[in-house]
Amino acid sequence: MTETVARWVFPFSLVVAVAIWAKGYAAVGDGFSAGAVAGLGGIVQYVCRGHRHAARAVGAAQAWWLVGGGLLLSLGVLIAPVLAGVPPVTHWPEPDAAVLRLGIVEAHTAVAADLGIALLVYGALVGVFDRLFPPFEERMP
Amino acid sequence: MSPLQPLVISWLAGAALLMFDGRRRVVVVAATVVAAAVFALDLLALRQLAGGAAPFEVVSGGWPTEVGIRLRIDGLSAFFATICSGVLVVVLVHEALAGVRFRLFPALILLMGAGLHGAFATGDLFNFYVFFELAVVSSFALAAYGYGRAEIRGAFVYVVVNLFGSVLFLIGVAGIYGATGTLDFRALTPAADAEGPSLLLPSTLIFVALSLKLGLFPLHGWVPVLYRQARPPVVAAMTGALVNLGAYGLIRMSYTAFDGARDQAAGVLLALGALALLYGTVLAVFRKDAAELGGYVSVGHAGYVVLALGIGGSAGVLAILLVVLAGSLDKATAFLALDAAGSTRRLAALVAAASMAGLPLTAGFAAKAQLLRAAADAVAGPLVLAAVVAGGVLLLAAAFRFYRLVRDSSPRDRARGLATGVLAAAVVALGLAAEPVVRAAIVIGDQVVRGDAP
Amino acid sequence: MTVVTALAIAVIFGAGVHLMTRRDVFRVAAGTLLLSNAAVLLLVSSGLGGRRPPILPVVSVDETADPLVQALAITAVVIGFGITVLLLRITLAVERTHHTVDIEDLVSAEKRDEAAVEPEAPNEEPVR
Repeated sequence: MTETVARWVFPFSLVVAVAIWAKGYAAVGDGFSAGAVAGLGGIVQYVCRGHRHAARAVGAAQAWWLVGGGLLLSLGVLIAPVLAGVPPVTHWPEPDAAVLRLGIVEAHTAVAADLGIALLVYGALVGVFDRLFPPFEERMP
Repeated sequence: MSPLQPLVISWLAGAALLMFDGRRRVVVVAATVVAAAVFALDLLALRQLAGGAAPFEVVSGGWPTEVGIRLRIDGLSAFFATICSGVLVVVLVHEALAGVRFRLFPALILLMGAGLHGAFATGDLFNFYVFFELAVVSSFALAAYGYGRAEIRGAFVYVVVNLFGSVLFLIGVAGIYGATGTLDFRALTPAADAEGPSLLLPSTLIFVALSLKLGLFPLHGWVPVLYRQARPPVVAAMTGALVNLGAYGLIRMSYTAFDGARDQAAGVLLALGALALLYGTVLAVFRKDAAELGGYVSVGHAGYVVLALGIGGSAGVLAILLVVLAGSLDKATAFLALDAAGSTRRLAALVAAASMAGLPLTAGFAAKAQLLRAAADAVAGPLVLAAVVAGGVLLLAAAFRFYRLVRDSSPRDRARGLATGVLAAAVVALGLAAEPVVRAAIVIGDQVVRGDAP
Repeated sequence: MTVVTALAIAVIFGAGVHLMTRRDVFRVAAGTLLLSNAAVLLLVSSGLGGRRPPILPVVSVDETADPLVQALAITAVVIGFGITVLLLRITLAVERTHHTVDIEDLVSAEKRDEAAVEPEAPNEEPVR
């Protein structure tokens, strides 16, 4: 029973995480909490379902790619433009300019940076927990 | 935007290399190339700024100054950045020669460099905190490199102590924001004069936190422990790069946000510095382990920095700059020498020891000479001079003990000497041709003291 | 409100320091976590008074929370989170390599490792 509930917690936590990220530009919400919520859902998998199933469900093998990719996305959007002569953390579109909407999500550099951070935090949480888990399992009777 | 390039490049490269296995040759080579490019860019920026170019300034997001975070790179920033990136390149080459055994090593060194560059480039107190946490957290991971029993113990102590220091810094920042409503260095100077007393507690907390990072007595306990337990290349990176963060923070804040406080506290700074110097050097003389001795010499050097800060004025700041330059290079050489073997080991250790003692023909001599000159002119006169001289004599004893200890022992790990040799040669070169460096440092010191509004 | 917050900060900070003085390395790690959270709470307290989130349109400036303080707080939380994860990993490594969580045992392990390296002077106590 615990296992079934745990299995369903993960997709729900992902949905909540996406919601927190997507509405962050207009209401309270941001990338870090999105990544943390999704990561928590992932950690529950490890605790309730055992290492093998959990690792497959949360995609632990891609953890490093998520971390690196997320970090590069955020940095690329916020810091890399400095090489082109723009001040760091300059957002595009500018304040009060028109913005393209893809469904509910705005195509804004801040949103992209938040996505990068969410991926980074999720990858970090899942990756760390994936490495930590075997020691616990070994010690159980 | 050219002076910001080192920061951006090392940050992006570090982030990219995180995804790959740092043990592979291609990754290590890529990291070394980036680090070398960063060092070259820093040298260029230093030449421009010390030659009289105006400090580079940009506000993030293009917002007006009071709203956005200001990034400012002046002579002092470029000076520290060049020293740190130089040490980091050498450490990377040193590890590359023997083969890296830790997946994250190149990426972490680059990220540490990014954190350092950011801290040196920022004009905002909280932004300084963020960048130095980036550098320090990278060093946490590096401290455990090797995963041996000793390394893990050393890393644990280091993390806990440093975290406590960060907490103190954060509390200080909260206090300053609450009292003045701003975090920008330039805006804090008039606000500090206005608020005066209510800033005493936060500024003391910040001073304590920075001294902890620097390894100043009595907050030095973690230094010998860590320097002894961690791998020599990691220690070289820390002592040659990371510790300079504390020194930079003290200088920058003394001459901008806490200008008045520095004058008032000059006596305390002198006393603390002298105490740290004597304590560190006395203990260093009695150590049995070369790395631990290096740790106590580092504590003594931290004493020099604070002593010179207490002396103040152009002479004092010049002394700090030279002490930091010579100290970073010779301590890095000393620790890299621990990994070398044969004649390279003896020669590098000899050069490092001579520089630590301040003997002529090494970089340490210029630093020592300037320190003595500054101490001789200081208001507190004879006592300060006596402390500096006593410290110098003790350092001489400690340095030669270091040389004997290194000569009589062998490398803990694999032996490689090329990078060590290069660094030792740099120490001697600076000793022989100190003139241009000293001239640049004089210009920078004057800029800092004049308060060219950072 | 301010008094309650100040009391809360004091309690958390005190608890953190108390834990840091314990013998169990995991308690020390937990203590540092509490400490960093106390600092974050202090940061938040310097911006107390706002009720509405700082998101446009702004109804009244007095009722809107200070966005700078919130940004500082989230940054500090994230940094503390990252450091805590790292610290816990190191603590776990300490436990696995030394098979003990007692700090006194770590100290004796250190002395033993030291004596193994320098057998010629077992009676000299290193000053720390």
